[in-house]
Amino acid sequence: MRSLSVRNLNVWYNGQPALKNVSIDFPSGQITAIIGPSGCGKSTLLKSLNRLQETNDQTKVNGQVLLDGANIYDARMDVTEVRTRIGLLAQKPFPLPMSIYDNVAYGPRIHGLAKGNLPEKVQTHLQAVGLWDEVQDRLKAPAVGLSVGQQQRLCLARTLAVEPEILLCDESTASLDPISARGVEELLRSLRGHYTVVMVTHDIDQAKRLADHVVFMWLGELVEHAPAAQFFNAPSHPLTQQYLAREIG
Amino acid sequence: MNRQKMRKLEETFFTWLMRFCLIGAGAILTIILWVIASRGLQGLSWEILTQPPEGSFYLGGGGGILNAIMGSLYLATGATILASFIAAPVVLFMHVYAPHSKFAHGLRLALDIMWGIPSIVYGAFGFAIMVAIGLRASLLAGILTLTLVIIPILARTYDEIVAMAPRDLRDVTLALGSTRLEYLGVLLRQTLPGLLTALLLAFGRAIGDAAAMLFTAGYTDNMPDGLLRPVASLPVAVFFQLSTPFPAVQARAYASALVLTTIILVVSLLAQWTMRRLGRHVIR
Repeated sequence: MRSLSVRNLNVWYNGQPALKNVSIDFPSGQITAIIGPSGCGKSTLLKSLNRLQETNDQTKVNGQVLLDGANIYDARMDVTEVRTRIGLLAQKPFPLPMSIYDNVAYGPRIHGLAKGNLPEKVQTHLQAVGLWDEVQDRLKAPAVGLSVGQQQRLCLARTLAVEPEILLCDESTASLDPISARGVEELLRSLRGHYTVVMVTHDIDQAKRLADHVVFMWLGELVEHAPAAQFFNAPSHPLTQQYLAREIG
Repeated sequence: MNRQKMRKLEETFFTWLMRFCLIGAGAILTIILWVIASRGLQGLSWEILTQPPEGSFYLGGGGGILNAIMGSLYLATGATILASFIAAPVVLFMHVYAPHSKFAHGLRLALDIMWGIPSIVYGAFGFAIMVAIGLRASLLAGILTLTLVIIPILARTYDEIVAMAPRDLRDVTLALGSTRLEYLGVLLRQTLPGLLTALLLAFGRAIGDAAAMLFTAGYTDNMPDGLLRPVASLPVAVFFQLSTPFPAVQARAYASALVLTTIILVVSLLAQWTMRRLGRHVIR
């Protein structure tokens, strides 16, 4: 299992600080939830972990994100390799403009992961997200034709098909209906032990249901992080206590 | 009058005003098409569509405009293909490799200016170049000049379409470990129906252009017979036929215009049909 750590990470948007001196170790094989109010920097932190932040050209990053001890912001680091090893499931389900099959096959194709066994690979990943039975007779149909919940599961299959070591989830159930959200949550739970999962969530209850480890952010700063039981039962910082009591945020 | 009544009156007044404009626009289009069709059908015959002109054609003699139909198709198709191979990569490069850059900003400005330049100026420019390199009026010179005329149309239209592609597409594609070139491929797939619209617009402009063709493609009564030989085109044929004093020949000008309009209509319908097929996968 790979280790992921953040050291003194600062991020600025248009000169405004969005992350201030964040340092943390994400426990391997566990689910870490980052919680906090809107604009606290939790999505910024998440997207800094696979350098997706850079696609916004008004961004400046300073500090280190260590994957197995190697800084992913090092000039010698290949950014496509970083994003291959650290996958991201976005907030909104967003299929690629191609068929259901091609969506899952896209990653293995560009990375040359499937030599001759692409159909089996696609099937395995669609089965892993519980979508195979629903789509096996229309694999060539456009992915946009799926329901929103199905699309998000497809996106998870597509991300896992790249065979990442670490999975980032950016409020990945926020735009789904409650039943689909439960389905995706179940899937994330099933990934525990196989992947190091870092998820951002708005929903304190979801963090309680899923997380092994919780990080609380406030105005770009990391306020507190602790194992879930300790975090929810005995938060040490006054801001955390107020947030969990839903007095702020 | 109370406020409610006033609002209602406003609504009624402006709705009718807009309806009036709509009727006006529709009427103008109908009249143009009616004039072309009614006069064109008089001059239209099987002979005109299937034969090149005979010697006395412009005096009312036999033959047809097949030379101009084929010439126009060659010119417009050649220019559209050539321009797409230049414009599409330029646009995709601006969006994938140099978004929000000064370079892209300057290029857009340049394209907008190029769009506004009258095509007779392109014709004169093309002619000057031809003289300099010793190229005579020919299909090749016509295609190259038309390419210059439509590059800005194609590029700026496609540019606006690519700009409408959802930003998430970039993030999710790059998040899978794609290179920027691979993202460019996905972006092309997403915007393919839009590219087709832009191509159609450019083709319509190219096939209808007379001014740039006068000096560069020339005119001939022969069928197109080589890249380095002069070639006829429908707009120039319309011009020559309308310039004669003979009503029968003038009727053929309208027939030629009708053929030109029909070609554009057919290409539009084909493009719509293709767009629907290509658009199945597009993320909205």
